[in-house]
Amino acid sequence: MKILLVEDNEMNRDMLSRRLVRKGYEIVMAVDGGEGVLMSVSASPELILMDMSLPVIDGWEATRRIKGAPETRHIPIIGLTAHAMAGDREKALEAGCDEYDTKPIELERLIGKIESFRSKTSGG
Amino acid sequence: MDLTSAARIGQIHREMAELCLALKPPVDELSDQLGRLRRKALETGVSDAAADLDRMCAASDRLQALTAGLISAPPPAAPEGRAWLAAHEHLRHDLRTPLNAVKGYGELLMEDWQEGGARSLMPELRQVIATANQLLSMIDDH
Repeated sequence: MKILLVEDNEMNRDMLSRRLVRKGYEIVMAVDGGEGVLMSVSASPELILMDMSLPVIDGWEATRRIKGAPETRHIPIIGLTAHAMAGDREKALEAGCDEYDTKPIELERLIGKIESFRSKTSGG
Repeated sequence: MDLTSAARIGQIHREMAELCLALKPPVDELSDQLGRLRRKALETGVSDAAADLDRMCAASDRLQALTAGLISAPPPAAPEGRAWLAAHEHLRHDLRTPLNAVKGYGELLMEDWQEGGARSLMPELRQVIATANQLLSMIDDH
């Protein structure tokens, strides 16, 4: 499964991508919201992990743009934030995220959410 | 600056100083634990983990500097109050970021070290992750 990870923090990007690669996922990465929007088209990911606090274009706006474009609106997006604050989940879902998770990442929980989209997209 | 803002800035300043004072002992402990783990890893010859351990130590150093700065910083003078407040709005986030790095790289190494010669390092690594989790809970609960 090919996943686009949009994350500006170098350490978070490195950690999460390495752990997901070990689990068998193919990871492509973008470092800000603008690059994330571009790569949602050029890299044809099957799912997007979107950090919401991003430079240039933040994750909420990037999500709105991806979900607003006919060629990318079908791609499931899981929004990630560092805050476990009330309202963040609703804000992410309003922007168009299909799911939401908080940092620090609990890998098994995140993989459970990723896999739920695999079964949906494969019709299983 | 009105009185409400001044009172709010004063309150946040006191809360952050109190939080950082409470965090200091486990933050120092985390630094010591990482130092011991790094030394033992090098002695054991687990050289492929050196870069990840360096990142964890760098994150721990950042956390130590951040908490020390917040404990000793004087309350902001009135003209700088608003800027200070804006800069410190995301302070809990700033405290969590290095801890998330320590925890994440620690879990990455845990996966690496499940098998093979590095298994002897697991007790120290578990301690590091436990201290990072304790600090994250303190930041969330304070």
